Amino acid sequence: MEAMLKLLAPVLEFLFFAGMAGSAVVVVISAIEDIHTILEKDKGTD
Amino acid sequence: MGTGSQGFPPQLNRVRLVVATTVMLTFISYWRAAAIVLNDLASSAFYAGGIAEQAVGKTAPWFILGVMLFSFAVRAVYVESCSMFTRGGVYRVVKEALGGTFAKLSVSALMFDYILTGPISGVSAGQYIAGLINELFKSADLHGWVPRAMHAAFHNHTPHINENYAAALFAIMVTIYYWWQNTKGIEESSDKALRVMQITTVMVVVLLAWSAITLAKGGFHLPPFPTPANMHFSQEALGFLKGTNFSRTLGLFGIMIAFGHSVLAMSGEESLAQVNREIASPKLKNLKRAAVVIALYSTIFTGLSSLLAVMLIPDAVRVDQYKDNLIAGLAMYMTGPVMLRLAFRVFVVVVGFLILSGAINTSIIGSNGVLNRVSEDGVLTDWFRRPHKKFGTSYRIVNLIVGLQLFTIIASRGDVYALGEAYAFGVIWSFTFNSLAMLVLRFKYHGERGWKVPPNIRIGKTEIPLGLLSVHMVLLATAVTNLFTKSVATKAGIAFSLAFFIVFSASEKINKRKFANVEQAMKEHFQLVQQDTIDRAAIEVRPGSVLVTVRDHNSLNHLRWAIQATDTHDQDVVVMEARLNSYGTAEYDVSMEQIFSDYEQNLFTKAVSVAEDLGKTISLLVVPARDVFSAIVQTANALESSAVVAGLSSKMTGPEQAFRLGQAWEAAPDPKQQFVFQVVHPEGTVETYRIGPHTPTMKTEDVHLVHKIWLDMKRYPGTGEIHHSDIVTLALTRLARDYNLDKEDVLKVLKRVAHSPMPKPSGHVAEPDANQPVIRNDGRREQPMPPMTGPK
Repeated sequence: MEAMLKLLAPVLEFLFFAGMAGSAVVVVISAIEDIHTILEKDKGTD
Repeated sequence: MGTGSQGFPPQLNRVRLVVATTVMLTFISYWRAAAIVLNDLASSAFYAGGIAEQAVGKTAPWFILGVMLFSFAVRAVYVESCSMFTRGGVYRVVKEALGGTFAKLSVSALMFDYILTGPISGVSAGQYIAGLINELFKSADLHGWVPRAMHAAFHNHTPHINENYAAALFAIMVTIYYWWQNTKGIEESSDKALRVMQITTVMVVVLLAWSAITLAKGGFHLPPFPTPANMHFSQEALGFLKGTNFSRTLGLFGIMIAFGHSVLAMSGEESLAQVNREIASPKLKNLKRAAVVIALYSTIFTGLSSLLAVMLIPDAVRVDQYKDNLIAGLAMYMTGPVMLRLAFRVFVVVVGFLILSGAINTSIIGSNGVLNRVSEDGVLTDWFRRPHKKFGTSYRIVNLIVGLQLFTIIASRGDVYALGEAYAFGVIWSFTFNSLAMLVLRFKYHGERGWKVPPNIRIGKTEIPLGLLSVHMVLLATAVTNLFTKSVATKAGIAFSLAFFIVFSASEKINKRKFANVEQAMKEHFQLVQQDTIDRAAIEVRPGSVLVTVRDHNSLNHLRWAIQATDTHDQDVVVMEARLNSYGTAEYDVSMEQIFSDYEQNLFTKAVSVAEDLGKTISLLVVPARDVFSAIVQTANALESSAVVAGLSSKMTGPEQAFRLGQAWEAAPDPKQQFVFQVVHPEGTVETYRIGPHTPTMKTEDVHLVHKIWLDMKRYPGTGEIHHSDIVTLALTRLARDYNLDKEDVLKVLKRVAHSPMPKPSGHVAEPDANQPVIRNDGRREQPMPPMTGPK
């Protein structure tokens, strides 16, 4: 278990922290879009 | 309306059976949709903080806050999936991307999540109640209000109850209550969800404002920042890593472990995919709005309440006393008089009870919906979805779910921490499967896609979904980390998911053989036609048809009565079965590939044989629906039916059925037409109502009174143009004026009139009224009701 984790941990750490950085970008861009969506008036249909 | 149709080549000796593929829904605003999701998502605020702190220590609130911010990104994945498929839930998305095996695996993880939602919510609500009872005992004892005998019973200690056992007992009672409600067929209402969220919002506002005042008065220290040095994991929180060298130098890996222990704070996102279908137009915009409301609300409530708890509740008692009822502890450490704080704690417990017990119900409805859905797809055998004889619900699935939930509660012995750890397994793996499937679909799916998770960069002809990939990477890394650090959850989760997977796979094999027979039988007896939506042309009926609703093949007396009473040369009879879908059921539209269960085959075969016995023809129709009354009204409108005939419900009286149908009629969009609704009792009595605005029944003396006034007026010159109707118009105009001036007085008089004995209607025409059933206790032979509209 320990040996496996020693190998796996760096991979998981990369996935997690790189993913977190990317997710932060997702959150920021979506938040800007969301503000537009909330403020935009409905035209009736999509 | 009805667009493309597909089906088997027509044969003269087969009855046409039209299957509508679009679910008949009533749409809700994004506020209501957000309230439904928040009933599940926001409930985790009551236990997530306590569980995370037990695992991670004082830095836990930062991780809860981090998870809540990350939930904005997870929400984006669900919005994209919902913009592709109206039901963008895990099963649908994973099946589309990765095939049936992965879909069964992901749905197994989702079931683990759903089934654990009930026990963790029930036990948590029980912990809040038990904690309050003990607090009240303590306060009473301090004031010397506890009798000596009671002291003696507790060996001269303050009276108290075992919080874990009391919580488990409470959870069992509430789960059994909801089992019975779901067996009877519970009313799902966005009104209830909205009310609960309104009350919760009051509590959240008071909590935040009061906490701010307390912090301003007493000063504050933020919890230690989440650096590896500040994290102190409990032995339990290390799971399989306990005692290893690796656990002594965790470094950055510790942050992932802590994140994994906090991930259950965002449980409930899946509900967004399940209410998406009901969201009113413009759908995508409203879905995004609902998603923003949900994410903001849960971040503020769950994130801030965890942070405030660490800032306000002293370390000495926070984990020791309030680990399982953190918000109640927060109430007790506000500034102000004890009685006021205690009163607020009672309010917190009431709100906790409402939202958490609602989550138990949501978990039963959600699991039932998902299992019904996979059952329709042939992954569970018909045995599971055979309807209850009396209530028509899929009671065997409800029994299975509730049985597993009760087992879980008893096995946990009221330990919220153990339940939370296990719960996180289902939550993280269903998210991981969903995000992986969405990633695959970026390359595989070429259909309509309303929105994409940003950012996306293009290299040559290939678009790289950077945002989606990032979210999936975090989820996958957390899910794998959790396998190592949550030993009980890993064992229980894998065992449970595998058991479900095996049941699904075995059932599917059995079903495939069985379905071949049912499909063959259906093709032999029926000409199956698939239609997007329903209209007269699709069903091939004339205007003014009689719509008969059927459900149970043992209760078709009303169908026999309707066919007998109708001359099918002049009027068509349409037999309709509403396939009820709860949240999460029809993740995608009903299709021919989905199994007609043997009981449905039986139902239609018996309906046809009733018609054949009487030498008449009928049309058959299957309509997927969320609400049966709404489906009846929408179908009657679409077919321009003049009458709807139903059997007496096992749950409602005739007037109640008529009232519910009337409500659905009022809620239906224009244009809509009136129709007659007839409820046929098992012994042959028929109650008749008019649905929609109609000429009311007039008492004989009222008719005479109008006539007398008219005669009197006629004596005066210049009254030649006055008719009876003008007198009624004048009287109504004056009544409207009086009503505007003094509503109470008019209502008082009207109530008196309504309670006065009603004289028998004159002549031979009895006009039915929505409030006055015309009951004809005359067996089956006599012609039911009047009209030009109903069966003749």
